[in-house]
Amino acid sequence: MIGALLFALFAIAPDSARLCIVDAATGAPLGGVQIVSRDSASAAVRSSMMAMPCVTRAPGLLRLRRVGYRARDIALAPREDVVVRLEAVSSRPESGATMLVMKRVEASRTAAGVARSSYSVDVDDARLAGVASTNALIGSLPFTSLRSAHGETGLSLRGARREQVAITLDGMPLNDPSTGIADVSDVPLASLGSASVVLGADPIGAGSGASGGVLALQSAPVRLFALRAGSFGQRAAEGAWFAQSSDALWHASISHTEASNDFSFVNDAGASGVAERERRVNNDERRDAISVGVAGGTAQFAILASASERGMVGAENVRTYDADRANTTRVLVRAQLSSEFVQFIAGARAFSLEYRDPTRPVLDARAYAAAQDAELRGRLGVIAWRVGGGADQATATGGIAQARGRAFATTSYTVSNASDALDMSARLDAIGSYGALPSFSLSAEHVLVGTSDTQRRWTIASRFAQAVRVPTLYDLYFSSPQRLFVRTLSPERVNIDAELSSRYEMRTVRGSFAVQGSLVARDTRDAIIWFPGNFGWSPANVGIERLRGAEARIQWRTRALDASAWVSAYDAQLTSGALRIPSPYVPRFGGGTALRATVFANTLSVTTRAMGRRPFSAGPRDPAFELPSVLLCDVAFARRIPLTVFLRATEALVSLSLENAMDTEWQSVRGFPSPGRTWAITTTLRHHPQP
Amino acid sequence: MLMSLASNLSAPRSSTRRTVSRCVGRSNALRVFALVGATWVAAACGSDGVLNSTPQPPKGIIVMDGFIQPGLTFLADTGSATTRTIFGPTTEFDAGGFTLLRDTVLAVSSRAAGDLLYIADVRTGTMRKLQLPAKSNPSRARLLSGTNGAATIGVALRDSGMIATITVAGSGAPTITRLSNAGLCPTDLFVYDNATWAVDANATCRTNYTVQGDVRLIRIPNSGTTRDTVVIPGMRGSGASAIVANDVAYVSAGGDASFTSFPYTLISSGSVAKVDLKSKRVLLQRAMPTGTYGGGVKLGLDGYLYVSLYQDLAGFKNRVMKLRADDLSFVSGVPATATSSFATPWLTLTSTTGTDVTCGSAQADALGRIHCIVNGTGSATSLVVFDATGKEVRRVSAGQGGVDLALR
Repeated sequence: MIGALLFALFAIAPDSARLCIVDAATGAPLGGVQIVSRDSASAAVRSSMMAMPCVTRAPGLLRLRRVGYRARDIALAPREDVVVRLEAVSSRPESGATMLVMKRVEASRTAAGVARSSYSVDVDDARLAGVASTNALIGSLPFTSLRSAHGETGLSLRGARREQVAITLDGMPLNDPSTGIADVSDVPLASLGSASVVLGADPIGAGSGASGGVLALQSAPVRLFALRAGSFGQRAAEGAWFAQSSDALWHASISHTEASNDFSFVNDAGASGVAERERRVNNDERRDAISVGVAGGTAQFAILASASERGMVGAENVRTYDADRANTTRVLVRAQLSSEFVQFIAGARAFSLEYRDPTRPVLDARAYAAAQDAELRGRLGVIAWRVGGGADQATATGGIAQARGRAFATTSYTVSNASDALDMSARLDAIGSYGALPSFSLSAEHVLVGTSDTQRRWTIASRFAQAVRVPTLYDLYFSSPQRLFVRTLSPERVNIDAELSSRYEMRTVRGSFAVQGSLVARDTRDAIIWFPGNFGWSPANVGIERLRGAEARIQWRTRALDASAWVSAYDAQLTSGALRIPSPYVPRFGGGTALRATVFANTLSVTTRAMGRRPFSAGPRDPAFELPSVLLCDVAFARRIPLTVFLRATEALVSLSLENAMDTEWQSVRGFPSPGRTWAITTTLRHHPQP
Repeated sequence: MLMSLASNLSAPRSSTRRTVSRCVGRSNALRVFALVGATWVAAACGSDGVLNSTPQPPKGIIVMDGFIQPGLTFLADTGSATTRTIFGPTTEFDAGGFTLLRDTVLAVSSRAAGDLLYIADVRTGTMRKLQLPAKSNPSRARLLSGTNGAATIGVALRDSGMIATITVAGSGAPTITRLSNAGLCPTDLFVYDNATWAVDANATCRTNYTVQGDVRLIRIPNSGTTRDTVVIPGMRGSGASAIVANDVAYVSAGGDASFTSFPYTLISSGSVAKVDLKSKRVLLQRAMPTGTYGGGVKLGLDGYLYVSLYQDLAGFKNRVMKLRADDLSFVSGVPATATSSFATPWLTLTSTTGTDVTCGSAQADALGRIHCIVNGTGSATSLVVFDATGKEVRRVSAGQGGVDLALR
């Protein structure tokens, strides 16, 4: 059986054709496509699964099927190279766009839809730049701001608070329903193919909670094994594998990571009069994760489970938490069924947090949260629709037990041609007792120069949207240990999230060039703000949170060189009566550069990230309550080593990376020092199945 | 700065000695227990009991921001101008109150914010911080003496069961000596009759602040190892504190409640006791009204005691009560009215439009005007002043995150 599979995998017929599958709307490469062929001689029907977006196979009549997409019949001629565009079940049917001559498979429009600012990073590319964890992967994306105090990761996009960012894995939300926050540290990098940030509110796709943007993680079937070792006790091992049968693609990944994180730091919070260099204690972490999935032509199923333990180190001058520990467990399950006209998607998430204080066991605490979602997607004439519902539950030490239901309906109308695209969408949410919560989105793109298929293209786009975020169960109940009373909170409303952007792209045989700029504005009414330490303790709906900003990015890409730079300028502040409070941890100015040069099999990467002064308190702007500006630089060298002599179709990637190469003392969260210069060496064995 | 402090300390003592205390540590991780600590308002202290015969308006008003941008906001008796002294971020400062003696403000950070002592000079607006023993969980600091450029400060260390005596001279390194066996959870201290007295909350402050028994005064003589204990029957609370006036100590505690599950359960309300330090006897005790929680006491500059507490554990509405120092009887209703049998004996404080005003950390000036603080939307703090009839006569912005107030 295995031999037959391997034979089928690696056998290449001389007159075979090359076939690539992409999403018709976005151009994004699609794996996991089932190919059904009819043998012309025997009339026997055979099917196989495409793990990769591109395959080489024998010509003939083929039917292509993938979960969530309409099936398509094509006739593949000998030695033909084609790109087939599959249309999503809920997208508008296109006419006469079944096949294109293959040039290069590259997304032409963001997966987020019309007029969205979106940036993606491919995991393979990221590995060349020394990226060896999901956190680092996200950190390599432009316009992202990561914060971490205890190893968990909070993501801010476009000046939004971390609970205003939705994080998805293959469309499945990862956010904890109790806190509204998703910690991506436990998602194994080995299971991922790419990550994208979509800036700005996404009321239609992500619903409640996506006021600032969406981080979309996409899984991919790969075969690899990686080992990593580095400073401060970093040790990691991860592996991923997939296998194909005639009707299904099976994939799995597993990872283990641990680190002592006992780096030295300057304790500037003490009172000895001189800055003292100390070493972090109880800052270790250990994470294990596993994912398993199976995809067929009409159904797919995936499960992701993770467990982590970490020391709950306190602020730099605080010793009382030197023994405290936290255990986190997460399980996520998702199933998807698809017919020609309707998709059914169901998912469930379960979260467990256990806090232990060995020196004060009476303070041990536990919290559990769960969420279930179900959704139908389809199209009615020119209108795409989605309806769904779900429920959230939370229980915690102290007799806290809460639950609420959710339901939503969306409708979208999208029209596009070679130079214009227009999307009008609306969504209605009903969550708990908050009544009907409507949102809308209106987006338009116009190609000023060229068309979507030309070498040069200049596009302008604008987008207006409203969004809503209902109070999380944490806002309502989990803050109870600190609350004096439970306030009645209203949902926070993004009155308007507006964006005006322009993008110029040029492609030549030598490479591509792109430059993009955006002006953005967001007004949020009744912002749900939790003032730490407040004697009212519960969060409150506070005033108007207003953001005005600009973003720009430039990228130049050739076969040997990939250079990009981005800058952002945000003025984000909360207005409440006479108070003007800048949004904590949002720098006025930020930016970064990425340079990757490849010579033969060697790649050198230099990545920099700059953050201006960031306020860390929920008070008026005051230099005494701002973190200083910081410039961080990461350097990585990687070498690809073909191992075909020893292992067929396998290559090794050895990378040596230096993070914070300039050894800068800095803090992402005030009081919690970050490590200085760290190194890591990673060896990755990657098997590339021959199509 | 310390030179300035020293000059303050070496100045001749005025006839009016007053300190205000409301100092409680909080822990971000030990939140429920921190709540217990944070909601306890403590005591004014150190009054000589001799007030000026001609009432004068206060020289100034100090409001402490405890949890947004920690520090002090200084206000005058009139106008809206403010100045600030910054203490530091909330990871380094979490005090729920401070003590004031003449021009020196003392405050401490609990174990959750690094066990630090903050010394601020009100006149110069400068601040110095000193490191206290790690994980000692200080509760309240008192300026004990100051002469010739040196200061002696006492700090109650809850988790060590000790009183720390810190001597600082100029900008030099401090000297710390410790008095052990100061109780299960010492939360305040004072010096009287050649002895240091610890106010022991008698609670498991090392863990979850559960009350273990009645509040006690523990006398630690300057020499020898003997300890005298004065138990205050029925007084419960993990945030006990004391005000000393001549030979009398007014000891207060906020009561006992269970915060382990919601809704919270009140076990006992707070109380105030008058203790004769010479005879080491409890002279009088006044229980706070049934259902209330908290009992932070300040000595008003008009000679009355002012208690700030919560009306109940459901709405946590701030209330202010006024007590006579001699018999601890309530002065209820409108401040000028004296009715000790009033069912709800808190003061009736109303805004300019006649609506009920709830505020905390109340203290009256020598003119009988009550000053207190209100935290509104966004934790914006207002200083509110009421005239003798309880009508609001002044409302001025006083920073953000206000937790305590003192009149100079």
